[in-house]
Amino acid sequence: MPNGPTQVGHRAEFEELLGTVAPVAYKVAVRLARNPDDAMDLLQDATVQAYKGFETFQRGSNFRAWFLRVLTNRFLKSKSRRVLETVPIDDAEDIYLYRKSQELGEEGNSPDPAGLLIDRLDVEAVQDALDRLPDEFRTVAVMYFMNDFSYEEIADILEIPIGTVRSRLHRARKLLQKALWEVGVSRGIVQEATSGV
Amino acid sequence: MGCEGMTCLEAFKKLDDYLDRELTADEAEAVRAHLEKCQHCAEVFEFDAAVVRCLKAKLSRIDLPPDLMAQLTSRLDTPA
Repeated sequence: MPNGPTQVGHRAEFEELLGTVAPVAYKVAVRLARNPDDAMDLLQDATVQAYKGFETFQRGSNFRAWFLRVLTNRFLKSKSRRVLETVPIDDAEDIYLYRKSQELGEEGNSPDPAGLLIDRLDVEAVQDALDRLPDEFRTVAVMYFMNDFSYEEIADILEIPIGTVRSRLHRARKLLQKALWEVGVSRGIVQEATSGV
Repeated sequence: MGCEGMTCLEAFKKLDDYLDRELTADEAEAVRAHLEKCQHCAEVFEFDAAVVRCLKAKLSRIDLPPDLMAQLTSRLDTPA
């Protein structure tokens, strides 16, 4: 991308703003794309696209939300990304993991049944469960579980009403609990109570 | 469950927002009061809160490439 004299300041401004969001953007990219190599490709593509469209960024507004919007849209439009089998949306049951943990004698008597259950799942297993969420719920969940975004900022990034963030997140949590259990069962990390744990 | 004030169903619908501190002060107080009285809802809340804490801890733990910015800015200099 050639730099004319007037573009030098433009480029410097972009890089300065990019530096403030690159770490969190990389982390979001890893959770969306699943692995560091694909995440870097996604983030580099988003960086180029954002730079090309930098004129449309309203100075003084939230660059982080603007950049992550570019990144997320880029991810969702990616034709090469892997489409995985997802948890049926209507299959989301309230307090799924709680009920399952209560069915397990050991965890049910533990002072921290949730911790015991989740501790048995490594990060890859949790990522697998996250990947089973349909996109509209997965993108919200990725932002939420990065522990860095308010509902308001997620709404800003995804350009959806805050009420939609709230409802999608509620559903995403339920779907994720079911997906976590399924991943745990499929990996032999946890067993259904009826099978003799 | 027959707790005074907020019902279990009403509290249950607000547990996520309570956990994320997205309720108004009055709403949060109503949920807190319910959780103090209702052991079942308190157990469910503690369980879900622990799940969220554990998942956040696992999913946010990502090592950054040391040359992250260099890898990004170098792409800006690469012809499309």
